[in-house]
Amino acid sequence: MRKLYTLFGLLVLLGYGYVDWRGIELTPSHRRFVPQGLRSAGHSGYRSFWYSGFHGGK
Amino acid sequence: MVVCDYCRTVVARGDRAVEDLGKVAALIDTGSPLRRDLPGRYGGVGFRIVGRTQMRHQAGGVWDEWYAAFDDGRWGWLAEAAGKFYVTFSTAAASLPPFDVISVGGRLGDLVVTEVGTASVISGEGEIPWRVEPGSAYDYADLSGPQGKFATIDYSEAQPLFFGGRETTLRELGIVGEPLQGRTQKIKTERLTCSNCGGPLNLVAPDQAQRIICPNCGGVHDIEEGNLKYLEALKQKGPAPRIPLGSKGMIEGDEYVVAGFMQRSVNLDQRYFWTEYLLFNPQKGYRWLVESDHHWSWVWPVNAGDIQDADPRGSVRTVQYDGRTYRIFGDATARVEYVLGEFYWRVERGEKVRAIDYTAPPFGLSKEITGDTEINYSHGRYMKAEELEKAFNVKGLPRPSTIGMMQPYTGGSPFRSWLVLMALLLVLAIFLAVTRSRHEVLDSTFDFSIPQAATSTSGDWDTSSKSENSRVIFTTPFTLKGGRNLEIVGTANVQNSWMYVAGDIGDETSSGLLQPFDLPIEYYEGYDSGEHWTEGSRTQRVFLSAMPAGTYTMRLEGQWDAKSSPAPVHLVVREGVFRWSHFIWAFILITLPALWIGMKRIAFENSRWQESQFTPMGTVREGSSDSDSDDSSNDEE
Repeated sequence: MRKLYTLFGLLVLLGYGYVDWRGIELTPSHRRFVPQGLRSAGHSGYRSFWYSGFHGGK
Repeated sequence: MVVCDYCRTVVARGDRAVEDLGKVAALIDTGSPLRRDLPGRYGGVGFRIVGRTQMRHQAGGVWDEWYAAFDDGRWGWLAEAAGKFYVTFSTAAASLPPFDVISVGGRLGDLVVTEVGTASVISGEGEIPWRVEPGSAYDYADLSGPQGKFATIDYSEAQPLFFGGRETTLRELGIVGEPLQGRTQKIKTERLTCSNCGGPLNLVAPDQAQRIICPNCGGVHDIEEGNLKYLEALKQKGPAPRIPLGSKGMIEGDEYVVAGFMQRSVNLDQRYFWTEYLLFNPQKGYRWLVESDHHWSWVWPVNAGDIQDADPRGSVRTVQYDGRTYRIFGDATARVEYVLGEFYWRVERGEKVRAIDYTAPPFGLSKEITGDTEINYSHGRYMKAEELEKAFNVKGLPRPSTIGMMQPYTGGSPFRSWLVLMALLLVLAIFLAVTRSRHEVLDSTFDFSIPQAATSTSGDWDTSSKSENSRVIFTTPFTLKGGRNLEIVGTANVQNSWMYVAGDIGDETSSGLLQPFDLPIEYYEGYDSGEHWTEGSRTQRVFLSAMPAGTYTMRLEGQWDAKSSPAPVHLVVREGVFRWSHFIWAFILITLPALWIGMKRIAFENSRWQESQFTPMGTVREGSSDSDSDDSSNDEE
């Protein structure tokens, strides 16, 4: 049991180290990519994609 | 004084002449591996055995005391009793207590009185330093001290004589090989039959055995002066030994033979039974295997002087032995219910001793007080049934369903692992905090109430918003190093109002990556029945996963309470922020299983102590009084 626990604890430390080193947040976020075509095809030019139905996934 | 080997005449060498003191009885063959003229070494000094006296214990047992001449001019005694050997030398001692004062459990310096009794002289041989008078009796007291110290006080003369020494082994005495073969051969050749039923009585240690109970008919025999004497047939019923008498097994590298078997009991709220097996090894002496509720323990005698026991004649909460503290577990009158086989004392059904058990799993310590005459300590360790099955080649020993007195908790203690893991967590957290140090990438205030072109500090305004209480702003571009998390802190001085900022961090030119976030800022306060209350916060923060290195812009859509004007929002973006919540989660994840294991261990210990007469703190548990203590002639309290 003690060995199993130690192994588990080491895995937790490994996970903690990985998450913090990589700057990962554990809460889900809806990261998206704006397609290149949409970014360059806006009717009003620069940043027009924000108003063409693309609101960062919200 | 010399005993003639041929005519057994005792000749005393006085100051003036040789005196004929008559004849002594023949010696009883005790099968001792020692003999006259046998050489040996003790403490680096050679010796030779020159004579012996043979004594009878008040309980009937016979033992030899061998007189030895040492090369350094000293004279010493080698005594053998119950498979143990002792070396003593006459030592000057001041103020020895008289016999009517000395009692078992009493102390003399670091020595504890373990036995007081009366011995009678049977016979002698060779050279002896005192007058042998067969049949004469004298009082004695045996004492035990730390690290094997041993002493005897001899009350045969007007002034008590003190003999100090220590327990030893034949190997330490340099006696190996041929003398031991003699003993082994005797064991092999001894074949006796029961006087009652004619069944075989295969003696394991004929030189040590005092009483033999026929395993077939229960016929009780004593061994007196080398002869088997039938006493009675016990009409007894009891359990069959799970390990048959005569079985041989290897335990801790030594071969033992099962010599005797007994069932004993204590009477508490009900009568509890357990069984004990007496085992013998010619070099190690006697050992015990004890089975209680299918829990087994391997038990061997220890010197009273090695036990730190504040009350040798009674019970205390804890005693110390070999660096461990043992807690009291039971204190009751143990009664012999059933006996089979041979024993080194004259065991009887109904025989009672006060048995006090202490525990320090996987070890246990037992103290047995026999009336006013004897105290014996024994130490034991827990044995798994599997280990016994392997040692004695038996199968199907039942497994326990309860927690035993000495049973160790095999789940292990997580505390040390937890401490190590906590230390590692701390080191790791410090390393992460130092190497991923935070820095600000944006620090600006945005006023959503001004529908005008962007200022140089706050970015570009979008004027396309149609809503009266909602506007959008784009920040100036900022650079992220990447690989580090982001913290966005928004502060707005709202009062009984709200400000909602929906943001997107976007890489507009390169990857097109968009990371949304929300900052719902609201703050309300007031009084309710005179009590001040607040709700919400003027500052909100959000943490985002690391984004790739690059240049980003933030789109902020501010919404506010239509009943009030929008409060300016102060926004700070930091990269590489230490996440306390991650640290706390790691702490919880490491600690919770440790707590769970700890709780399991507590439950295990609770189950163990439910079987005890005492609580772990040493207080007496209700309903655990010893019902046999009143009618026990051995009880002192």
